[in-house]
This record gives sequence, C-alpha cells and structure tokens, in this order.
Amino acid sequence: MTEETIDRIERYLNGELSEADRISFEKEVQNDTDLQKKVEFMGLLPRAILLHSEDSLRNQLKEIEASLPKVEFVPEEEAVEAEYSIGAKRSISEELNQAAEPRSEYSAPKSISRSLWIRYAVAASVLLLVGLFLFRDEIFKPGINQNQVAENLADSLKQERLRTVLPEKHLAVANMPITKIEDSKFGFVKNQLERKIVIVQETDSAALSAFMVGKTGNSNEVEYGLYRLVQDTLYLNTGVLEKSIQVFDFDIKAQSGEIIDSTGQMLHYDKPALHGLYLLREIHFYKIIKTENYVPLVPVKESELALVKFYTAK
Amino acid sequence: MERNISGYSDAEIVEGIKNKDSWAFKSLYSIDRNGIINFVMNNNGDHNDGEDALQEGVIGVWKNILANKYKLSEGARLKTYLNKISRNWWYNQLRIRGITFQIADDFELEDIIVDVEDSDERIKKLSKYFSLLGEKCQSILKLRFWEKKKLEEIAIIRGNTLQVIRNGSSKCIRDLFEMYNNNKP
Repeated sequence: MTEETIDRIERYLNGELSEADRISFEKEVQNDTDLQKKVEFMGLLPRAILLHSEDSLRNQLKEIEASLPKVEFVPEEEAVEAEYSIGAKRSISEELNQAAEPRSEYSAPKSISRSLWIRYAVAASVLLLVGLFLFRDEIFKPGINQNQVAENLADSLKQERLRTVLPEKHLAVANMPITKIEDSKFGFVKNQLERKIVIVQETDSAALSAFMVGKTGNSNEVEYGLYRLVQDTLYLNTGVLEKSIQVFDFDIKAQSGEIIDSTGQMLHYDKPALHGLYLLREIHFYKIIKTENYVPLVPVKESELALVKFYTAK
Repeated sequence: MERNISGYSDAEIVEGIKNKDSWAFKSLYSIDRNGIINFVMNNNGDHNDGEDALQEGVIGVWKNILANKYKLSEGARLKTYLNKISRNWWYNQLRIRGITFQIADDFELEDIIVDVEDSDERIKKLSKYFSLLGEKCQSILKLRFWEKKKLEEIAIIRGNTLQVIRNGSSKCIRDLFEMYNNNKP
C-alpha cells in the first residue's frame, strides 16, 4: 500500500476527489478486489481507532474507580438532605435538580424513620469525607471541615495538572530555536558558576501559534503563556545537545547545554510577606510567579531571600 | 465562573480533556460520582452498575467533546450533561435487561445522543490489531485518521520532520493492513 494509494483512498472517503476522479476511482475499485479490501480497511480505521481509545479510557476510569471508596447507598428521598448536611460546595439549584430525579417502580422502601434518616446522613457525610481524602491519597484526619477538604482536593489536582501539562508540550518547546546564548558558547568556564542566571523568555507569537495548531475552543478561557527555561551557564563545548533535565517536579527539556545537578526542590510558603512557590536549586532561590501551564522563574528579591533562608533553616 | 468539586471550572475540564490530561478525566469522573451511582442504585442497579453508568457517561462526554457536540456556550453544565448521559445509558440497560421502569418527567432522552457502541466485528478485529502496533504508530494514526490532522501538523506535534512522519505513517498503515488482510498479527 503506497502513500499514493493511501492518499487517494483517504481523499475519496473524505469526498475530496473531483467528480471525474471519483467515477474513475469507483470503476477501478469494482474490478480490483485488492483495492476493495484497502478501501474497506481505510473506511473502518477511524472507528477502530475510536474503539481502541475508548477501551484505554475505560481502563483508565476503572483505575480511578478502584482508588476510590464505594459510594454509600442513600435511598432517594434522603439523598438531597444528606448532601446538605456536610455543607459541600454545591449550589442549591443543583441540589434541587437532583431532588427531581426519576422514581422507579421498584425503588427502595419509602418509609424510613427519622432517626434512621439521620444515621444515613451522618454515614454519608463521613463517607464523603473519607472518600475525598482517599482520593488524594491522604489519611483521614478528623475535624477538618468540608471546605478545607475541597480546597485540598483542588490543590492536589492543580499540582497534578502542573506535572502533566508540561511534559506533553516540552517537545515543541525544546524544538524552538534558542537565542541569547551565543556568548556562552565558548565552553565550560569554571567561574561562570558564580553568575548562574536563569533567563525566561516568552517565545515569539509565531512559534506559539504553530504550537497551538489544531487547538480549537475557548482559548480565552484558558490562558496559554508559553515560556521556556534557558540556562546560560555551565555550557559544554559540544555544539547542540539535547538533554532532558529535571527541574523541580517535572521535566524541562533544554536543547543545547546542560545543567549540572539540575534537581531542584519546590517550596511552598504561606507566611506573611512570603507567599507562593519557590524553587531552590543548589544555593539559588527563584520565585515561581506563575503556576499555570508554564512556569517562568524570576530571581527572588533580597528581602524575600532572607525570609526564604529563615524559613528553610527551620 | 462556577467551580466543580475538583476545583476546576467546566471550561478548564473541557480543555483538559481535549489535551488528554489525566487530571481532567479525574475531575470529570468525580464531578457527580455520588449522584450518578446513587441514581443507579436507587433504580434497580447495584454499585457495579453505577460504576458502569458513570464510566459510559464519562466516555460519552469525552466523545461529544471531541466531536464538538458539547458546547460550553449553550449553558449546559458539565455535571448535568454527564448525569444525563449516564442516566440515558442506564435506562437503556434496563430496557435490555427487560426491566420495566418509569422515566422521570423532566428527562428527555432525545436531549443528548451518544453513538451506540460499535457492534461491527470487523471494527473490533481492526481495533485489536491496532492495539498491537507500537506507541509511535498508534499516536500518528490517531492524529491522522481520528483527529484528522494534516501531516504537517502531526510533524509539529511529534517534533519530527514532515518526511519522517510521512514515511512512518505509510509504514504503520501498511503493517496494520497486513494484519487485517491476513487475519493475523
């Protein structure tokens, strides 16, 4: 099956052939069983791929389910009020929608005493709390309110997002031409260790749009800032190297040059005058000013540095 | 912007799902897990049935997002949307199992249509052979024949040259066709 045949069948199936080409193609197909089989194959391919993706997604969802505790059964009449009792962050109208759920002819017994109802409600709320904690692989700690739980959950998912968003995209980032490093290309110079600089450049908009090819939807809803990390010290005199380096929680791929001992430590501070994410690399601190999608690093201010050191020493 | 229990807004989850991010699927899965599983358990099902309904619901939402059938602007909240697909799926199961049931007045089956599972044996076979291909082949063919991306775009996404992608894509299709044609891997 040559690329030419593939291309022709694909265009035929997409209705992209001219009328004359289509007729001659169909005539050809009629007399050629081999070609018939190929057209059949190409026609089935998209649905087969969808089925395959569906199966892998199903397995992924089964894994998520397996990591969660079973849902406590709450008979229909009680479901709404039980959820109220834990003060979950849900709008009243949504709850009322749930109240209007269909009733089956075979639904559970409807007369349940008040005290039993309260037990259900308590059980449901405790279970939901347990569930949320297990969801983020944490041990159940009593006495933490529901809002806190929801915030923690949101936070852990945000961290997970940070980890997942970047590696998928760093290939394209790494393939962009690197500027601003010519003057360091003379090799490994020891005293450059002293002036280690991390520069973050916002990439040009043409590269950004090329990278976003095929992305549809609400780009105004999600902010895409494309940044990359460029290290201009500790340069090796070996021309263009592509190295995968480990910086804080996730991989950043740097083309050309390498960063020695690149593992960093991510620190989160929530103190007066010191708030947010900081990166500790060797003896250098950087403040991470953006925690969505891409992460530019800026050197911390002197005053902040003192605070960071103070809290780290503790 | 209203946020879901996972802390993400509908728009963020939809965008994440388009990007195949696992946090987004987790968020969607947890968006109304209690509600959906309990709905099934309240309607002749057990916990396992509830899980199935939720799974199929998430898969339905995912399919519709990719097919651009789900539009944020129409004001359908993701949670409600998922809930409807799951319920619809469960009603269908009850019908298959021959259990009589009553559909709630406010529920319109026609609201959301999700393609029924493919029962064509040829597709199942082809899908099985597809899973035997290497990761690179799977990724390229997915982008080309399912997401309908141009070879140029695939080259950018995969960080390869156009020539590499073109040759790779042809070879993958040939390998897959061989398996399909000869009925063996």
